[in-house]
Amino acid sequence: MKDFCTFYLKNFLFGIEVSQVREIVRFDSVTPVPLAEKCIKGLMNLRGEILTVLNLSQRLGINSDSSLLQRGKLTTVSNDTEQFYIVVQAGEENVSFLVDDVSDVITVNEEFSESPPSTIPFSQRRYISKVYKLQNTLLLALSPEKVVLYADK
Amino acid sequence: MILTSKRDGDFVSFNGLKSNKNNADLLIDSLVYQKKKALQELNMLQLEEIVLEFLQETLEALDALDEELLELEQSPDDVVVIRGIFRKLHTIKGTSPFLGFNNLEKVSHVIENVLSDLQEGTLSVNKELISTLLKGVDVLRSLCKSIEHSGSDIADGMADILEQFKEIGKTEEAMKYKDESDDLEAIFQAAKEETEKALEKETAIFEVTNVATPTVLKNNSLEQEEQIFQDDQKSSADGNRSGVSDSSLRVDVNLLDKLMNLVGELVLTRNQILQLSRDYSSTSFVSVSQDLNRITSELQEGLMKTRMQPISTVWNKFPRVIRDVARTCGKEVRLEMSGKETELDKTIIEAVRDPLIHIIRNSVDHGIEKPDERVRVGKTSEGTVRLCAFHDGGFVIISISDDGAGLNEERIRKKALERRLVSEEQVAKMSSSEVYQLIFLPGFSTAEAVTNVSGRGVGMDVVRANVEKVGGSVEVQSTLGSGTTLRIKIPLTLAIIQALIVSTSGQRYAIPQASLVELVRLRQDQMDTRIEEIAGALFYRLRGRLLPLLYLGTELQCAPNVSLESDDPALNIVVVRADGVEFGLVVETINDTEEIVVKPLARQLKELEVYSGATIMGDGRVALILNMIGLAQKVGLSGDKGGFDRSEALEREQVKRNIAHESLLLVQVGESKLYAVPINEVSRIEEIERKKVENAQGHDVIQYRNQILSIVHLSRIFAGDYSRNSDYLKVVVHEKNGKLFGIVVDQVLEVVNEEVQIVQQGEQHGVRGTAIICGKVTDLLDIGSIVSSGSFH
Repeated sequence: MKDFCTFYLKNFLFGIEVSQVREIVRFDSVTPVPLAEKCIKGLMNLRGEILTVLNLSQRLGINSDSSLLQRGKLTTVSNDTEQFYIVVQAGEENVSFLVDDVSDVITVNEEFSESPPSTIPFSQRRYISKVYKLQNTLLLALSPEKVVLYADK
Repeated sequence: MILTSKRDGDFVSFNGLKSNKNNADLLIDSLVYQKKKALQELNMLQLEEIVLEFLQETLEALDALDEELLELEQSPDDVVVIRGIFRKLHTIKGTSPFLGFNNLEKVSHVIENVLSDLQEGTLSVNKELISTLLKGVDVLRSLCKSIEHSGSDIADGMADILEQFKEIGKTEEAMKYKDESDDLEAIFQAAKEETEKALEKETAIFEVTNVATPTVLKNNSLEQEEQIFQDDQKSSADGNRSGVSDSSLRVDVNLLDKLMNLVGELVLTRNQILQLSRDYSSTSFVSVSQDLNRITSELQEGLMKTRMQPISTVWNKFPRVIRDVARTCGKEVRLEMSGKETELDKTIIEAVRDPLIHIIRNSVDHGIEKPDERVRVGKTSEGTVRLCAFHDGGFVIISISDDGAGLNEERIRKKALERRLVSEEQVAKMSSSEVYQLIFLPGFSTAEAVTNVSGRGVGMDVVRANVEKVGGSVEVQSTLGSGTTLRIKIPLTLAIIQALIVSTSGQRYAIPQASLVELVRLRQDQMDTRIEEIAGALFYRLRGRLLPLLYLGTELQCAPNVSLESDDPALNIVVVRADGVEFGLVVETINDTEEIVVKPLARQLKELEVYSGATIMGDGRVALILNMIGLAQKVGLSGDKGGFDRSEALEREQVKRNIAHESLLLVQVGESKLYAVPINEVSRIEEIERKKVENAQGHDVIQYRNQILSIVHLSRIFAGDYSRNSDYLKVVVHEKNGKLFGIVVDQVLEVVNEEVQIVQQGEQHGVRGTAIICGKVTDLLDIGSIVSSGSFH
């Protein structure tokens, strides 16, 4: 049994293990870093600590017209200036992920897990450690270390 | 007190013969045993603390001993040095038995014996002796290490060293005893008396405080410490080489780091408060925040200083390292050091310690040739390793050069190919400096490479990695046959730096003060004439020199781009210097200078060389710190690419140095008449409303800084000049003997640094002469004679 902090990127449900999530914040002032990779949204100041913000949709290459899955739940993306950021511990450093919407903490059973099917393109598969079959949707378990590590040039 | 009697000072005072004190020591051994037992019963924790302190002190003393022994080797007759060594050994010998470290005592005892012989001249200094002494010090050191790890003083090679010292001692011991046997008895007697006296004293203590033994013991240990302390003071008072230890204190570096972080946070908070205080009108709040500002700055500065250490703390070990390596390699090497006092942050010093040791070892091992080889190629048999450290801008440069064989390019190429570190085509294309860089590749260094390739083998990749970890760089230059130079450039990147905050495209960026040269604000009407374009590249004419211009917004690819055509009223140019090149960075606005806390960028952003870090601004938002070197390299302005730029910068340096004599302020009167005033005769330039001009005794005056400034228009002094009428007067203020004089001109143009050749000597009063400056005929004013003449009241 594992607890996952879940969130949406477009209409896909993703999860990061609770033990790796430091906090979830709403934030509005991210300083962009010119010349950086596209998926790096910028830097944020979280109580004196400077965190790199990754735009997770960009990093995973997820667009709303993605043909990957059709069964995902559709959510409304908030249009506020303040957006959701999940601060996670990836290896030794803390990174902040920009996500579209935050959902519940879900407890999942390992029995219902599968390793990511090889038909998912590698560019996305490499970030996903497991796929959990929930009742009405799939939960894609993300490995923060890998998200931070593999960058697309 | 018994302990006192054990110290040599007292013995010296009553018999003047140091050499016999060892014998007297034996007498007191039983008393020492008592003391030891007492100490053993002490609270373990307290004991541990004492041992730890003792170890720290001893290890420090041993380091100093290394140095002093080498000094002794250079000047064998220096009594002061011998005495210094003696004193240190004696302290070790004297303290260790109390803590139960008998082996430590034994070894230091035999070494001390040799030294006392040296002191008396029955033994003379030679290389062998020094080597044995150094070995002795090493044994002491390993004893200390063993105490640290296991609590007992056991080390290999102890028996060996004792034997060796005995050998040295043997020859003269016999003589000595013959000579001094008469005195001996007297000394024994005196020692005995002293001991008895002390014993009585001790019994007295026991009698008085016979209630609780533990307290007595504690008292004793306190007294003992006090004695040690007093002895320390005494030794520092009569030794002119120490004395710092009394007024200094050991602090855990972790604690300093923690404090540093806290101060960093405090600086941030201070910045936020200052920002807030600008919005508040409450004067008390403003003044409190100003106090906070001042105190924070002082605190920060003070703390910063605690972390600074001269580089000599690392270098002091080097003479020993060089000597040892040279002896094992059978080479003769001299070490020269300059810039020992250059100060660096403690963490940076720690980071370069190992790389430096590695480099100098390599210099001796692989760089310097064997003596006969050197002689054969026409060099002196003794090789030289030169260490040099100095500050350069925001950097410290450490160069290590040897006059050895130099790097063999061909062999490096071959080796790199053999190890498949590079392909053949790559090697073929490489310039020699690129080839030298190969030695930094991991894997280049193997056991074979160390001996074969003339260069520096094992672990140069580690050296570079360590240096780069603190933001530094390593360069290697070499000439085959005449030596190799390694230059380590390390930034003074401390946690907090001064920076200029600028903005472009709505974002703020920090430019470290270290790379800042000057700021230029260009009005729109000046742009056409002062900015030139060559094949799309823009240049600004800065005092007759072409300064490459970069638009920060364009470089960072964030539109909108401020171009010459835009209707911006002015152009802000930040003139910076990086890597020996100067260039102008055009930004939208220049905000302010601020102290910023440097925070490193995360791994994902590390490869962006344009930034050196990030910081948190007063409003809590993050701003990026620009790395001027990275920026220059990005656009190909690096100093490596053009000797031209570098020489220009050098030239500029020279001009700067001459600024006092050569700088002239150019002013204009009327439409075209130019005058030049030496800048050191100008105290201020003011713009004053014409309305403010009053009249006193027939002269124009202005109330200026609670003084009366008499003014005169330059056009009135030199009749014939036409003067413009405007609402504001531009006044060049000159101060002489505390009096102020104002000379009104129509326009203040600029400051030039030119070598001025007076073409025509001055005929008119108040003119030194006429010269051609910036292509125009200019009269050089003689302010002194204008002031003393009747022009002013």
